[in-house]
Amino acid sequence: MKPDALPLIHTFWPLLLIGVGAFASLITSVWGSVRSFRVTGLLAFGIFLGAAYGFATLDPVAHSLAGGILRADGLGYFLSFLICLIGAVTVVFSFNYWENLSEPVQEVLPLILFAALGMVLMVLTTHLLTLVLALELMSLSLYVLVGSRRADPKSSEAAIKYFLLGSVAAAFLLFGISFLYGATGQMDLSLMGQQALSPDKALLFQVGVLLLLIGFAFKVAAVPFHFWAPDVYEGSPAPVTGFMAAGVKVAAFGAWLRLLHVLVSWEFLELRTLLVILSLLTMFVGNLAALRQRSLKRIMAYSSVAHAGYLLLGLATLVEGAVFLEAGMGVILFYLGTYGLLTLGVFAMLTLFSSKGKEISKLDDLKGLGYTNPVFAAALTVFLISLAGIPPTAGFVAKYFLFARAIETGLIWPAILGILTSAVSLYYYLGPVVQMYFHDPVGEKSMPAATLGMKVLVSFLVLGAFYLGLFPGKYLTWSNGIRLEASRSTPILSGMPQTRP
Amino acid sequence: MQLSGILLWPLLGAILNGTFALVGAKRKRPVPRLWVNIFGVGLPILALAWSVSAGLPFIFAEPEPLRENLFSWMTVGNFRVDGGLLLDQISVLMILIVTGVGSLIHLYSTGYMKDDPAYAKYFAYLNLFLTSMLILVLGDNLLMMFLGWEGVGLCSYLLIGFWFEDPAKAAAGKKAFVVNRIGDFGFLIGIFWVISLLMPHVGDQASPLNFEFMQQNAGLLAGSATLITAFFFIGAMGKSAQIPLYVWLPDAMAGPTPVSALIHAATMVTAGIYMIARLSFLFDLAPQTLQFVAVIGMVTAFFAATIALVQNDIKKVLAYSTVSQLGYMFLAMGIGSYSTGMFHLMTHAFFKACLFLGAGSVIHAMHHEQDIRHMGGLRRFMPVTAWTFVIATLAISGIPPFAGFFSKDEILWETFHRGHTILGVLGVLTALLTSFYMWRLTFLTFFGKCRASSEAQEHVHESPFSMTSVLILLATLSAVGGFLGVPHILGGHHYLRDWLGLGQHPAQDAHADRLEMMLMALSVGGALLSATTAYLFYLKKPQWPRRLAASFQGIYRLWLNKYYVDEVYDATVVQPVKRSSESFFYGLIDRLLIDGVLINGSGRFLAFMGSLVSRLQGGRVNAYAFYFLLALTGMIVWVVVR
Repeated sequence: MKPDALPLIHTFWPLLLIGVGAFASLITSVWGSVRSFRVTGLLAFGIFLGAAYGFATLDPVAHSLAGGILRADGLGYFLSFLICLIGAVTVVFSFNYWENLSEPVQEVLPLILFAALGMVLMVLTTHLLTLVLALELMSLSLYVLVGSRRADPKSSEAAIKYFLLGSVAAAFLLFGISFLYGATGQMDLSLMGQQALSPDKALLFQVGVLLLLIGFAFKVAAVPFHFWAPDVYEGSPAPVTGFMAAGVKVAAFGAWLRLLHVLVSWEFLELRTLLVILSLLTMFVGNLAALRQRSLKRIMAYSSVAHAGYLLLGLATLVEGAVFLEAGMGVILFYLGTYGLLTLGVFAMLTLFSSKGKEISKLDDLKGLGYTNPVFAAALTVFLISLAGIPPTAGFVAKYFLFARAIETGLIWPAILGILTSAVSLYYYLGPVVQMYFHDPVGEKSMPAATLGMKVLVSFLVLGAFYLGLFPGKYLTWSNGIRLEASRSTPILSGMPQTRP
Repeated sequence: MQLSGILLWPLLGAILNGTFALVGAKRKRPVPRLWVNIFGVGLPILALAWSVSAGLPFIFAEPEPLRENLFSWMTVGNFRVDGGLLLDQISVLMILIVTGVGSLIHLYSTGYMKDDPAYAKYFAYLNLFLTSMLILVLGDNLLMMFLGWEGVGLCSYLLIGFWFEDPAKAAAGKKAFVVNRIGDFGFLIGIFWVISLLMPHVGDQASPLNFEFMQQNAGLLAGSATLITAFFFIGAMGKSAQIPLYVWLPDAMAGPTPVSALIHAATMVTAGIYMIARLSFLFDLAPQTLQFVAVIGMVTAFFAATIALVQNDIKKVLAYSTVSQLGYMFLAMGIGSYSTGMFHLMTHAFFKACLFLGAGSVIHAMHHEQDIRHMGGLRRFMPVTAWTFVIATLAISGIPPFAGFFSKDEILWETFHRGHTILGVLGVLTALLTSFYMWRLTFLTFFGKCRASSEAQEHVHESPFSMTSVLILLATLSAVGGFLGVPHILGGHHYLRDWLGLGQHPAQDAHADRLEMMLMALSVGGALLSATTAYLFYLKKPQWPRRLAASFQGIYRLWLNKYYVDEVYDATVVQPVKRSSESFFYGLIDRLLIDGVLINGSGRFLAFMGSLVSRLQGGRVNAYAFYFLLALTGMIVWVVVR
């Protein structure tokens, strides 16, 4: 073993676990039987939980490997932890969704692992090259996942659309990176920050930054780069949509945080203005467009756009002149976790509703569900009102902290507008609830039996929605303690055994 | 736990019986009555035992007030309210009355409500009432008191409308609730005012609404005391049925009779008296308000007594009698003799509960006949009910040595002694009226010939032991309850006044003694005279009252129709409010402005915006990519031009 392989394993073993697991799952799913699907699923689930545990307990040491190709710090670990949890939840979804088919789509589980690997890599690096590779690993896996319901033309359409537009965005991103490299001669963001910029390269640099930002704006579905979202969300299988909505957002915002951290030092970029404008556009378009939708999946797509808008406002609060307000990141991290939890909750319900390979997400299909499937309806209601931001649920606390932070940092008008759009969102979040409780059931509704794992999972998610809403303290303290640079003193989970070298 | 236990027991009862009621409704088969009895009656008795054990040290010694902090209710900046309880002499008296009379009435209800299908629900409400009343009298701050105040109001509403299938009864409940809201509004303003004056002076830990804190800082309130207390008194007017807010109480008789006895005679309606006693340090600073309280009390007492003279419904007579007696209590409070008011509150609780329960026993026996013109001679069928009723009547009409004599005479004497001659004269007059209408009621119901149909007569029977035993206990209390406050000149000792230690009492001199003797002779003589008149009128010469009514048509009709107050309120308040609500507030403001413009208008606007935004979403990828490019170009232009 080479001398620095040991710290590599110590610091990045969860990452390696996911990578190795991804390849292993390729092997276990080779048989194509229901049993092999189960084995693969258990494997994937175990890997995600193990990796999540690792990321939560590892001490962020700010190891940077080979000039920042990989970087272990508090932010990266925290986000990786979230991603692994999202991955684990998605695996449970997939069980419920695909297992009932006579021939499960075998490649789904390995692809989820590879996508998660991409996401984790994305948040664990400051090197633009790794970033692009990670992004592409994630995106390519997702394109295939989106199209995995091969019998359904809508699924294929969604995959093609996502792929085409994703390629455009990737092109922007690559262009941006090459511009930045051209302007600074560096590929590592942390080194780029220390670089003095010659004035004649300022324009090149600025356009590079814009292109880079657009690349990520596409991934989080920020307006006007959100057009793919409704079509893709609608066409892809429900578990994949949930994974995409929650996971990609975490990864892309993680990358965005890192970019901002470096880019603020060039004050001439006026990043704050840019972010506020993007954020307002995103909030308005997302919330307004959702009003007219009749499909829960499309509603969730616009909801995802709208929440990206709130998160962008959160990003704007971090920029204060040439200073990056690291302490404010906690609000965004809290929001990301909450949003992930609630979105997964809604998609858990959609997964349950759409088993046997048949997608059902029309609002009319929900009619009377409050009476025929009271538990289902109650859980879905909890997630929806929580997304709308109604106390005592997690969504309220997250929005409260975010907007409070915005007001603290002087973004008063954007905060007020954001709160107003959030009020508008109540209409479309309550739409499904109205269908479930204020309409009589139509026809015969048969809810496919949920697997035990699914039941446990949904219970956890509901409890989580209330727990974070009523007792946000612990999680908030944790997310507030996250730092970009080394924060050796604060391990992520205090009280847990620490695997420190 | 010693204090919170007192109110937690009935609360547990309310929860259990509420569960029983729900379970029974769900299973379409009521939970066995025995269970309801065990918890519904057992737990209030437990609360009584708890109260006695908490109160005994106060009776035999003079300990410090007992305090218990249940929880921190709210903390906003400097503002802080605790869920705290306080036990001192006043609250000891109150909890003993509430749990004592309350337990008896719970017991009585097991007989009275035996055949009601909603048995468990009834006890759930009754237990909840007891809890609320205990919160009211045990709370150590104004907000706790208000919590109990609203709680008893809610239970009163629920129990008045207990037989809500009858629209008239449901309407009576609603009326009680609405009228009480007016009073509560006054109470709330008083609370806000206190907060606004005391807030600048609270430290870190103090609550501006805490009674002890208020008392220590009463000086800060002195400037506005008159208005603050006036607002508090508006609250008392509503809850304790004083002019002009008394109209709900006669209607409240629609509820089951034990409820009338417990809530609308013995306990809840005296909450206003308790409030003034509790805030006496504040009322002492507001002589004008006190004067106002005294006048309102006296006028109410007189006015209600005149109405009671001619009513024919057994419960209506008692209801107006209650209003009248509450007026006496307010008179006592208003002249500053707080302990006298509390004394009368106590004796009244005994004899009025006894009267109401006696009436309930009659109604029970007569199969819900309430018109005394169809009664008479019931003494033969139900001797226990009759004789306990007579004892309570002796007590309320002020004949020694029964309880009412001591407390009422003390009020009259204090009134004269403190120089309120006109009020005193009215008080004596009212005492005569009281004696008359009560004896009229007694004679018409229990004596003379029976005027019920022979068929009905056959079914009349004495009530079961669960009811008569309660009547006997309450009659005993009505007979001896007054000995707690025997006046000095009769060689007694006023235990209660010394113990309560409320307010100032003028010195006793020879002149005062003479006055007291004279008053006693006057009121006892007058009461006996009234009783004799009633005897003549309603037993010996039944044609007299008819002739009298015929020759004084005008005033008879006025009294029979209760001075047309309900009609006047309806024409001047209810109808105008209704009409303006329908046309202006509902039609214009609500429908057009709020619904039309604000709600639907904004909704339509947003939907329109949404459709604009959605139009861009055409589904074509090349269009989407084009938008990307546009956005990018825009951004680059912005960067370059800037």
